Amino acid sequence: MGVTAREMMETDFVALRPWNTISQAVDAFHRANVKRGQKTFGLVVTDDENRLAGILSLYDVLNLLRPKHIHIWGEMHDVDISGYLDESCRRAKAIQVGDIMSTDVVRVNPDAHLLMVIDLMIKKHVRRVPVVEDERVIGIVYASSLFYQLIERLRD
Amino acid sequence: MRRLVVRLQAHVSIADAIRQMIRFKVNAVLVTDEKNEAVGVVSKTNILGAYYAYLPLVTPLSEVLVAPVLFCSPNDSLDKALERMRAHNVHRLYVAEQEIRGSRLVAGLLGADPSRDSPSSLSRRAAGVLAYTDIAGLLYRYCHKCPRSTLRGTDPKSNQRLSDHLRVGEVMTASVLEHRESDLLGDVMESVFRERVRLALMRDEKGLPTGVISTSDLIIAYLHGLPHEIPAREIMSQPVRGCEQNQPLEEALQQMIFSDIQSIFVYKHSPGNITGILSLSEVARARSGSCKACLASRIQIEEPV
Repeated sequence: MGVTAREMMETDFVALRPWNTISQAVDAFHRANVKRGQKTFGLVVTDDENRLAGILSLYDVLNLLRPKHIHIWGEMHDVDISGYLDESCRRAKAIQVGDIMSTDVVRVNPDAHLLMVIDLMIKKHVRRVPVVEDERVIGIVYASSLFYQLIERLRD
Repeated sequence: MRRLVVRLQAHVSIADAIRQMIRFKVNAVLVTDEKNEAVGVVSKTNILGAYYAYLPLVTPLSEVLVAPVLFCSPNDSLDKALERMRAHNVHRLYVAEQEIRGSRLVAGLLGADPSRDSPSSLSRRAAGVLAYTDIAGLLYRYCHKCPRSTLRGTDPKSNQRLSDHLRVGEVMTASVLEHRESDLLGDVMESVFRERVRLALMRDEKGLPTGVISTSDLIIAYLHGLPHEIPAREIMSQPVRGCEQNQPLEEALQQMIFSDIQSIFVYKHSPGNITGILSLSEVARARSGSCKACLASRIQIEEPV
């Protein structure tokens, strides 16, 4: 097992572009699930030059579906909410990834030690860290991959 | 109050503030220093001003923020908070953290009313935010349940609803900002900024309402780097959401909440005949202090014998 980000990163990853719509992003999430063989909770966003622009997480998408006045809904038990979700999804589909992505993204260079990557994941509460070299994203280190490789060392 | 306060530091760019506003569906972000203390507020209107002035998207929030931040105490009555909002012509107050809990307790023991914080003694850290819309929700619940509501009629057991009394036309604002779809984006932006409104109604060449441009549409146009010289139709949202002016206020409120919008156009007889606009703030205002039953009970609570 490697000890640097370069040795642990996955280089075949699905990336979004800032001008992709949420509808296209959802397709990309599905593609990433198939590619990785497991559920994906966030995708990196890169520009045409493959420079890191941001990250879109499932929470960003869920946030869009959450009603603006959800805090009032609790007070209004007589409001008929049937059909709200369809309407909310219809509105969200056309929004661009670049409008809601997080731009303050934790990143590491390829030579970063795995323990530094783990430290970052714990401190910043992130499940994936893009590996950036010369401003280009060259891979992603996933917390799940790290964990399952590391726990092998814990076996008797 | 809402616990979720969108906070950004003063060095963060306008572009990131726009993203946060869209992401969390808020009209303003609280700008804080390194100690998490409030230094200002940036609203969609402030961002619109930056767009109008051609400021680059990388401009830090410190360049566009408005100060001071207006706070209230978590112990303030809703009336007091509303009064403060009205006095300062703002739609939201931040609720101060109670870091002076000890001194408040002592003040209470000495006979002082711990709920009467002077704004200057409040913490500069926000524990939450209170907006007109939050108050609209609360009043909705109280008015609905209150058997003594003067709006319910003389029979306390009556199931007659508040909506049977208040109509949209009584509360709406009669003036509407209007533009042609072919007008330039910069012109629409200028009038939205100048008139301090959230929405402009767009009409086609025949004068029919065809779309809406909100402050959200405008800040997204800014984020996308759109020039001021494009036709406004390129960024307008559709459809035009409206309600009939004789419709019960409650139904309009439900419609706004359901459609995730803060204002709705009002028409007379047919949707093409727009006569005004109704906002959640106006609904909150209409519901506040209008009920004598609640006023009486508030006096009893606030002036103990």
